[in-house]
Amino acid sequence: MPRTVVPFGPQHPVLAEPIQLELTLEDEVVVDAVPGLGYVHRGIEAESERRPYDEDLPLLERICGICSVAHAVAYAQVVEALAEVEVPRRARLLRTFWFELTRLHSHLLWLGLAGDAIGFEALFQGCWRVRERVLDLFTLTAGNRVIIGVTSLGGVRRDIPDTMQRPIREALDIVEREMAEGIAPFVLGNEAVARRLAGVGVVSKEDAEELGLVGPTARGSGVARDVRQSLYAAHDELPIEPVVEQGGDSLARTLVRWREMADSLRLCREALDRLAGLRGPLVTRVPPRLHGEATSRVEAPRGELFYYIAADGDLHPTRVRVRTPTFANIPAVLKMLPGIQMASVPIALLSIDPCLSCTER
Amino acid sequence: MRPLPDSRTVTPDELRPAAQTFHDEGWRLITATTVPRQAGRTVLYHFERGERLRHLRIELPPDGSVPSIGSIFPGAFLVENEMRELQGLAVTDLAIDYGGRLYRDFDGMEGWAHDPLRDATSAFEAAGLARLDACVPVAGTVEVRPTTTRVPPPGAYRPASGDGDGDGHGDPPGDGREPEGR
Repeated sequence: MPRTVVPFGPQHPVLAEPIQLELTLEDEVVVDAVPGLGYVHRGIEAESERRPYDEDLPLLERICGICSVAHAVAYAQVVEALAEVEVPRRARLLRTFWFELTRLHSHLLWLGLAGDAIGFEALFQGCWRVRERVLDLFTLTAGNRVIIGVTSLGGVRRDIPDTMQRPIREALDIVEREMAEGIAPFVLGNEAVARRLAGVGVVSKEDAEELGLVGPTARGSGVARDVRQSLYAAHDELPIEPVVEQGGDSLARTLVRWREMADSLRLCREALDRLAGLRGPLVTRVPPRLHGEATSRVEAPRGELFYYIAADGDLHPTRVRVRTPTFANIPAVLKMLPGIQMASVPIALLSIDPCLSCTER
Repeated sequence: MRPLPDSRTVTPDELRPAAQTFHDEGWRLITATTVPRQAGRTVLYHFERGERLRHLRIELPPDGSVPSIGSIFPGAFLVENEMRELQGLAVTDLAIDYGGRLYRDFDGMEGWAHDPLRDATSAFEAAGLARLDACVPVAGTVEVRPTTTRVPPPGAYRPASGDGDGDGHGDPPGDGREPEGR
């Protein structure tokens, strides 16, 4: 059968950011896919090697507009490891609170985009309406909607006083209720959603482990891997169990994210419980010159985010390395696309929740 | 410099056997990192298993190379291509070789094989076009260049074969009169 090469992207209605897939088709079936990156490469790693450590924080936080808290916490943790300083407990709890809010709004954003990709506009609008509640919480607690800038080296910049607990808890209750009443019927047991997602973009557990996939993409294939088990931030007192589905398809990855949102709501409330009445400093001083090498990992909404820094005693790092979850999950796309219909490529690609700004840095 | 804990230094020849051992013991490759040094560079491979990290370290001279571990860890091909394109590290026997085209909007290292301008020039010459800028938009007979103006001045639009009957086919825009002073 003759083959046709179709360029999918870099500009495509389903993609919020540019990536190109060179798809080789036989009739309407994909037989090969080659990704091409680089359309939003900003050289942030190289730029961060010219700035002092504290000025790198706002720069690296802007690698991604959706999971900016994840980048900020991962970078802060690696600097704190180099400086061998301990972050105060209150700051670790606050970081966990904002981190889980980030996961909540990121998953809601993704679920809306997935609804849009399969032509389910009511799901898109419902998810983004609830997501606005979460962004309002960011505004209430941090003063910004997306890149909230609450993390600092050695702790956090802002506090959540006890007087703010009540409005936050009320907002969390509203988010939970609106998810249960407004979104759950569209996601759980909805035949249209199930028919568009089930069996699309299957990655087996063996392939997920062999390719080193991370985050909901790996957990949707039955791999119980979640960096929060390494007990960073306040996860030593707020433990989690990885949410795992066995299907390995787009539906399984959707269900993982759905259940993780309930987990994030629980973790936010538990962090607030521990913050109530807790007194103490918010930050530990970090020296401006650092020596050595260190790594840090966090569980960003899309999966494991890895930072490495080499420092030779100067005011700025010698090397900053960022390995984002989408970078680790791109091989999954190459595994899942061959054999599926061209019409299913958008939702299969979207099912790994790709973030190209993260990937290309 | 205080090195990473749980890191082991190997030579480029020892990399593949060491990576194979990690793979057989159930370790996952997180990523690889190049670190510039005064005399060459360091290449690090980061592995994880059960929330524990271990690292392989290779010290390379400026013209040194490392073998690909893509046949052991299939997901390694992306980072190996990236190290080659963005840091100029020579990686031999790549399992999937992008030939310098993974980052397609990146101009490449100095002297690098991938040269977008040269590629584009070659494509234009192959198409029989004389100039690289031959695709400048043309309105009527006037080239519209961003550096001059995007909108042709009034009266500049001169169709090659306008019939002048005012039916919109081949006629100039507006009332069809020449501007004053022309």
